[in-house]
Amino acid sequence: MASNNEFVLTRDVDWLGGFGNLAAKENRRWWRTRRWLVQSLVWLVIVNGLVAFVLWVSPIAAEQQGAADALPVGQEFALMALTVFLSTLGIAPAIGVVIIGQDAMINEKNNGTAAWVLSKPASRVAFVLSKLSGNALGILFSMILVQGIAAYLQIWLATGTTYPLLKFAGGLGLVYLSLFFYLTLTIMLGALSNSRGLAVGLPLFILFGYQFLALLGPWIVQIMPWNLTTPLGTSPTSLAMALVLGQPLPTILPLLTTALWCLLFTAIALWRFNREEF
Amino acid sequence: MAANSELLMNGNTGWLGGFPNLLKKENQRWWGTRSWWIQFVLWLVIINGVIFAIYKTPIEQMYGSESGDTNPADLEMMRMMQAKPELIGLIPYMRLAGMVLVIGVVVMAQSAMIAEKHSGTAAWVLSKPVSRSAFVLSKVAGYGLGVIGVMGFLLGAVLYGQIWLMTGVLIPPLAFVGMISLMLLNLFFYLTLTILLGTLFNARGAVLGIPFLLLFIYVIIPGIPSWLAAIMPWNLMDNLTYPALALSVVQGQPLPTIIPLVVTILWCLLFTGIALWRFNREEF
Repeated sequence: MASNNEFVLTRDVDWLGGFGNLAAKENRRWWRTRRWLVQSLVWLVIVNGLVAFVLWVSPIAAEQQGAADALPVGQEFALMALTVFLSTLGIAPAIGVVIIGQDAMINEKNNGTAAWVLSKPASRVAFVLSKLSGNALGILFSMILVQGIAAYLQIWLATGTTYPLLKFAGGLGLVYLSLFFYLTLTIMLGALSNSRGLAVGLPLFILFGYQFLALLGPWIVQIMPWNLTTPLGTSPTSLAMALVLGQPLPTILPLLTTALWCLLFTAIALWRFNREEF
Repeated sequence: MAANSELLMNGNTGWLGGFPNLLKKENQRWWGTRSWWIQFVLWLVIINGVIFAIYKTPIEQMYGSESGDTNPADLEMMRMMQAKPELIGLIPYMRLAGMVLVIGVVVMAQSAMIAEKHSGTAAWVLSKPVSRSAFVLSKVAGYGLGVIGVMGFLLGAVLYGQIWLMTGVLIPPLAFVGMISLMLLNLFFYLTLTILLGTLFNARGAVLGIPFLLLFIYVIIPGIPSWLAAIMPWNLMDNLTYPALALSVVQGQPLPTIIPLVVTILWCLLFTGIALWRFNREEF
């Protein structure tokens, strides 16, 4: 065989083989297309639009109806806006996370690109983890950071109230953990099945079904991520809210269990995908 | 050309040309496969399972009176349910049907147009003597019949029997059918919307995201304006500006308003009309 100056032999075929390339590809899908911009704008309009409505429109409406006295003022008003922001941020973008997550695995399996990529020196573990890491980063920026910064400025402009940046970031971190739960769940379901119905339906049912599932018992609220962003059960505030306000967390169980769920879902996705036959 | 006794000239190329064949294919996709009973078992477990669990839960536990902090609205709800035990199952059913069944319909219908466009089967089918209108209408009718059959008739029959067995109450059949009809109208709104979006977009994100946002926005955003609640189907199955219309119907009470009902029907017709218009302009 003539000497080959073009190709470089890759020995990078261990359990994370090809992760660098695959992660770069996933990142390009976010940052080299309009996806990051579209997602940022959509959730800015929905989440921060609602916050703007609460801060600027509802006082005008209340004044016109002669109910201006019923509205809180100052810090209480800021607290109301913060509550709306955190609970909406924990729910609305989760829909987007589920839709993005179901596409991540199922699309590639169905149109054959997964099989094609895995015919190259890339491990299956790297394939799944690149999906997770790429989408996790995109979601962090376009569904948490942008909206968080905007909401911080909105509340400050409307009420003059500011919150300690670190605590505010901590609250956003808990919201992000909640979204990460749905991302890992959806990717796991995409690895387990080719059914989009399952990959979309089950996470959405968990997201919105808390009002029914909570009836099964208070224990279920402790092991699911709902309480991270929504006051439930015996907690007067959500955990994210308590963190932002510098209050002691009413319970840390939902935080721990959500993190454990994320690890479990990731592990199951890796285990299952390693057994996928194309 | 030699006389041809095998092939028959097809003169059926009107605006609904090929509709019977396409509808037959859509129906086969539901009733000729495991689809229909998988859907049936799935919703049976989720909806009727939750209702069963609710009936086994003491009302006081559901509305928190054991802890002594029941608010007046919950107390009122509790009294209503103690007086009419069938409502213990019907009210959660309306909420569940208004949410999880819609999720199911949207997820199923999102691939109705997009999967066929992406895989090329839409272009292939339309190369045959079938009209584009027939293609779209067969999707609406096929999915619609499946939804009516499984989510309306089968699940409704199980629910009726379940409530009778668990409470001894026989809901007046006409009132019950009225409630199921409103539930189906709610589902049809999202079905036609999703099919419309499938003709407008090639990306699943928009086809899934828009119906879900519409479905959940009144839950996420507090204080929906009454005019908006009137023109959306939310008030059909859930309490908003008015008590849920389905609740009024099943209790034999006059409807507090017919605007959401009429407007939802109009939305369904509009979505279907726009889908037909758009798909007739699709280039493959």
